[in-house]
Amino acid sequence: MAINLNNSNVATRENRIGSITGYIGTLGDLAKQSECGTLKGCSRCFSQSSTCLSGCALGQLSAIRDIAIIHHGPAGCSIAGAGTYYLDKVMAKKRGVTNNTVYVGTDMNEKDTIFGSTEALRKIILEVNRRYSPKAIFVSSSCATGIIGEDIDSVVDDVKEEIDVPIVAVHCEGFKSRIWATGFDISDHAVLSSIVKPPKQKRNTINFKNFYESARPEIIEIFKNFDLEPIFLYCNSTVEELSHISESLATTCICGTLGNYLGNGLEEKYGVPYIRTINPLGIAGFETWLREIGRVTDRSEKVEKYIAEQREIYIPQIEEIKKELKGLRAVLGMGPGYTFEVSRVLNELGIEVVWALAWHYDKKYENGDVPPSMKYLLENDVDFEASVADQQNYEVMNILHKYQPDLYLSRHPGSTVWAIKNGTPAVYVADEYMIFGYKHTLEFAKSILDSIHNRSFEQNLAKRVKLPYTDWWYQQNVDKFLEEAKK
Amino acid sequence: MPYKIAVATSDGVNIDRTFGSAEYFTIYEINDKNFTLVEKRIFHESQEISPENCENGCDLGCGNGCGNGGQHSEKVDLISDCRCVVCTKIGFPIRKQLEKLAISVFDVNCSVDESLQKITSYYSRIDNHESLRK
Amino acid sequence: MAKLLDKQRYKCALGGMQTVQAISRAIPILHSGPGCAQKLSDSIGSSGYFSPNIFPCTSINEKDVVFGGVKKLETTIENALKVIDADLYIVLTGCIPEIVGDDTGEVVSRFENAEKPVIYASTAGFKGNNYKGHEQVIDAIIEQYLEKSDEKEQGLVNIWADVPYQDLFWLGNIRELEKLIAEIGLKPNTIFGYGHGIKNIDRIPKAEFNLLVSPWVSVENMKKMEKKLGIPYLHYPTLPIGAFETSKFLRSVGKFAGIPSENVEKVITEHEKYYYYLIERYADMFLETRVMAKQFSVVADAQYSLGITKFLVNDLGLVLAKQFITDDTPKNFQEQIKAEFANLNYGIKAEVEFETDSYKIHNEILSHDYHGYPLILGSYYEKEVTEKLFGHYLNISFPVQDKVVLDNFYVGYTGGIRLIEDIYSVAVQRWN
Repeated sequence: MAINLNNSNVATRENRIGSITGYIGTLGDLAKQSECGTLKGCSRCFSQSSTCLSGCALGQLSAIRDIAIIHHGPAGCSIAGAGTYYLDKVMAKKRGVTNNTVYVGTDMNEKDTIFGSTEALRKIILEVNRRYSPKAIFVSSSCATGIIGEDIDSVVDDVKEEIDVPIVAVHCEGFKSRIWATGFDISDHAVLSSIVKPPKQKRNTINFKNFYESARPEIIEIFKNFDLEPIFLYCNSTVEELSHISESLATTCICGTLGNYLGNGLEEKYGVPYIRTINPLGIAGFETWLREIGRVTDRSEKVEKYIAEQREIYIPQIEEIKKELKGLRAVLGMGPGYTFEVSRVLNELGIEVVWALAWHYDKKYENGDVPPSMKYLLENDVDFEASVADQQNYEVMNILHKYQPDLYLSRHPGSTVWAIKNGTPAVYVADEYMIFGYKHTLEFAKSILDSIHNRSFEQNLAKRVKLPYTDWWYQQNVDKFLEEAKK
Repeated sequence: MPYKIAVATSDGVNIDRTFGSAEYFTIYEINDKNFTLVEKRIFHESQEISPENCENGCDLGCGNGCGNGGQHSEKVDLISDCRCVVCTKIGFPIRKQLEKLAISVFDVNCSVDESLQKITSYYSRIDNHESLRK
Repeated sequence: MAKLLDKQRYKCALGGMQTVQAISRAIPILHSGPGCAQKLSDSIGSSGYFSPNIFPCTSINEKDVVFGGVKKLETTIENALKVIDADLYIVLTGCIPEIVGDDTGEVVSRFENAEKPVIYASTAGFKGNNYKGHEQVIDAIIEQYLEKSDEKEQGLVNIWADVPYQDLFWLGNIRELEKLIAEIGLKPNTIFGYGHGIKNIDRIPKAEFNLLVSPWVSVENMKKMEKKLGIPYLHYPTLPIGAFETSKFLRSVGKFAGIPSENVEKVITEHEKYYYYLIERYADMFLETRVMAKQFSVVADAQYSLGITKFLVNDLGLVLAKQFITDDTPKNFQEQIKAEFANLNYGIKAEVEFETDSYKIHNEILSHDYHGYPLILGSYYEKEVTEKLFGHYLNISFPVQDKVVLDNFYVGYTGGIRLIEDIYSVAVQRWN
């Protein structure tokens, strides 16, 4: 699928690569259908609230240092700016840098929805530029501006003459896609089309797309072994840094959903190889990933030496802890970039996955392949019940109620608590590096053990709370609300 | 700019065919909100790839179209010059094939006239950056 | 008109979903995009019986935009009634359905005979901010659910105060107000928080009067109840914090309710005795803390800006720098609120500014001479600017990142003490 960088509108993920938000069956079945292109997305006649793509898109962009986000819409859309302000400040402080990124709204009111507000938007853009002299400006639309036909592209074109830093329109009309991860693509599209410049010289760098760079110091150390320097994106990135990412030797990513668009875009446009392996989570993931980086950057020997050294330290410890984990049963619910990856790691650790929920599922990646995490599981004969549900809590609860697993693993805020209310111990796989490499795989195993050893909290709570669903619902099949599209 | 809409109707009055069951599509041309019926495009059943080619992957009701990746269903090719297609229901893979060609799908149950009114009015406003406020 | 909202301190009207969330066993059903609820919720007390990811939502897509979303709304309500175990279902509309013209009221009216009550409120984001959304939700309850009652319960008074969740202390405050009102012999009724809910909503029409403790939010709700339900109201515009204002507050309520003043005075005396027992023991700290100037600024909504200003001036004898009100207060209330700021001990008048643009607020704070290290009570946005002035900073208004509050409160005598504890816990961290 060719990526068109000349257009500010990214086709939604549903359109481009056939993502799905409603499916229930087994993993094997899901993959098989994926391969022969028969998988059908089901629409629901009941759904719960999930996520807005603008959160993902602008959340990514607003982590870049010293830029401005102008979110054109009612005050609810731009309230993400409050969280951004906090995150930018604490993330910069941890890294020892400063970040003066601003995220403003336009407080659109009823009059604006009738008469339009492009002139006000124009003035706001110029004022933000005057106040903060940002290094780049991203102007985003919202549902309301999309519906009333505000032409933000024209406004942006119009002010370009008066502003001498990159300024780009970012299309975030939430109603256009139910798959919020599309927002990641939207942010990558904006960066690729407005900030990244053609390479002048090749450098010893590797682009590393991640969320909050918690493992930054240790990854820098790891890559020193291979004479490579990672550039972490986009948290604490500078516009100057981003303009050079076309000069790197390769692009890699902690999560396929997050990095797919940028990786493919850089490869297609500038020939920067994109590392398309399973993610560096768990033992097999870490080794496969490292070896591919070694191959692509011509450093295989150094990589093998590193792997051998590290295995000696960690594998015996992991083997030891596996004895204690054996026989545990887990349910997990995460984005597709993590569900099948974490399933693999659980399998490695001897934990049985009884059900995996992916919040959506990319049938094929940008380059047309089945996601590598899925392929790996199939090649290694790991199969389990799987469903694709866009953060539908009522389905998760139904599954937990029926399967009563030892453990629920989740990656989205506000989801673990429901397992605990069900009396199921939960592990919040919050940090993207929580299972990274040998070291964190070992830590992950330990934290699972800790979570199930002391079950006091969930037992105390579960005993005293009532769950929000009717008895009727618990008696239904999980797929009750998936409407079959008949022939 | 003029564009075309493909409609799945058997009687010319109501949208009454799923994408898969439509024997033909009625093509309307829209020129500045005015729509004219220009032709009927008949689809020959035998042209479609049979679902049996696809092992047992279709038991979830795949609509139709196990058209192995990239390759379009011939039915999609039939209407590839249209801006959108209107039918009662549509299988997921076909929808994706259409959307990759930037053809929108409206799966609705209403009269042909109503659907055309609504869709043309929507496109007209979107194209001209006008509000969708009623 | 659209305006530059720099470091914003409120959400949109759909934020009224948090008002619904604060009513036990009431659930919002959102006719909106899929992500509105997540965006509008904070991870603050957000895992109760219902939480944002439990809220049913029509998750509007492009087809719904072209062909209308009413059918989807109908099935969503229908199934919400089946799946979710709630007492009250409140449909809230977002931007899209209101612009494209979905008749939400008509759809909701089809559920008139449902087993549980289903009502709706118009909360499109562009209709106003979440203070307005809060009012819209209360309005919906009054208009579509409550009926006038001929039977009155003696001494029963409905209390209305803060906007839940927007105000960090909403739960503790409303409980403390109930407690104080009960002490002077009245029967408080509130609809928010633990153990309250539909049965308290049902009691509303039986009250003898409504008590509103807020500068402007919900004044319209009070008028509506007066008209429809025949309930008179007492509007007390200042959130009473500390002894001075709380005693005044109790006297006003007592007078309005016709309670013998000796009963009220007895309660006041008891409270003031203990309050000043504490103050006396710590007065040396107030006087001798080297690092605190006498001047302070509050950056908050009208409720807190006014309440805290009165407390710090009338109870603690601090001196005012400029105060900022950031809730986009409607113009017709601004004069009235300014008058309250001019009504302080020793004829002190506070300069107050209604401002939603934080860039301007911060510039004013930075350019003001506080005659020493200032005390700034505000949102998380004021942290960095206060640090620049080597001042003391307390996070009391939205957005909140520096404080966790489960059921703490600043209202009343005890609340005043809690606020002193918080302020001086910050001050004692420095010597000079």
